[in-house]
Amino acid sequence: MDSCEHHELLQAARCGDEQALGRLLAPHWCGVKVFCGLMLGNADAAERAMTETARTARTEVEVIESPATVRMWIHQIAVRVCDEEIGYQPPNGADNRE
Amino acid sequence: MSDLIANPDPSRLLAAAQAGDESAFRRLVEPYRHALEVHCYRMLGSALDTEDLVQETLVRAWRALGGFEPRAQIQTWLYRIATNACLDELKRRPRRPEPLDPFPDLPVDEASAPTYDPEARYAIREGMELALLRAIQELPGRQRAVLIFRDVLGWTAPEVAEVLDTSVASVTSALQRARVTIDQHLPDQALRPPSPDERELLDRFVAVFEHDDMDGLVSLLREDALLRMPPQPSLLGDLQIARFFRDVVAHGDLSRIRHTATWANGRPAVTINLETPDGRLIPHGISVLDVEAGQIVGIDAFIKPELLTRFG
Repeated sequence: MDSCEHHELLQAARCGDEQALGRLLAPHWCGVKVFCGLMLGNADAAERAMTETARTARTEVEVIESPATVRMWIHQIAVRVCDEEIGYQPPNGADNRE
Repeated sequence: MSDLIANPDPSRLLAAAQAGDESAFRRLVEPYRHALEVHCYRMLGSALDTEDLVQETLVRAWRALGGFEPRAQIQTWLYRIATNACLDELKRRPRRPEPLDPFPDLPVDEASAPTYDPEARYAIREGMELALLRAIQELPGRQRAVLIFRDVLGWTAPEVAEVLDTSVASVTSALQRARVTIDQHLPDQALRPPSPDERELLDRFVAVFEHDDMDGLVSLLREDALLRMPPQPSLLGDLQIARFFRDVVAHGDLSRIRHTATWANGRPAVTINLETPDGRLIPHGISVLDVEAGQIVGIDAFIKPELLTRFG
């Protein structure tokens, strides 16, 4: 898949084409699975988190700026979902940047 | 009752449990918990499901307790229940969609293996090591996420800072603290060099294939050895595994499977090449061995020819 194709996929994904979104996410999904699994430590919770991550990705797809940021974007969603699951509240903005 | 706590005599605990005392039951089975976890982990090949299956085992044991013969070995009895629970789970599994794809109904032709970064300290493998999973659960707040991104997924510090919306300095210090905790929790053997016994076993494993020695192969495997080869179903039993190698993989002649001894993820392993009828060698994958008391109790087979370039 060349970058031109990536841009077309992104365009399609932003117009609601789930198949296109699925293909954009596929190369990163294994990482998301490992992240959720290790963060949550049990299979059911990890599965729930992945379902929630996929659901959020569908609804927020329009914020992806370019194909190059898909990996960062989908993992940021997974981090948010897992934080919620374990009840972790990240410190806010400036405080967080030591 | 206070006497029971001070002096947990198994036969009295058992009698109390059989009379319906749930806390006596919990204390009775507690000493076997770790062994059950390891057993379930081996059967399932997935640390994530292990805790659920141990729970399921204990629920089944509690229900069946009335029929337990006091003279029988409680460990053997629990193992049998755990084995059945795991086999049920493995049977059930194909129907449960693995959350490998974001949208399981869609074709995923681009699905790639996880990226592997030599900088990462713990390589990902199917069925993440139970000990590592456990140790990671001990980490507080951000340390957990930082360690997973840096040491398992192999992301760079600036990438981790971005994904967690924090600074590189915070990532670096969280990682240092996390590594200390992990190292304390991981059993020493997680990253140990091969022992002479394992070296020898590995050499014999290679040799029995070379000599098409079925009996030799069976003798190296423990009776209840488990061959895991995701995504295919696992195979249980020394004979079953040996026959699978000979009849399915090697088409009747074990010597067509060419093994080379190596070492992977802190465990003895072999790279696999298959010999074609015209004598060419085709890269096939890697098997990682679980060795206990001089016998092979488990084999993790990774059928991915591209792995061989990494281990070659």
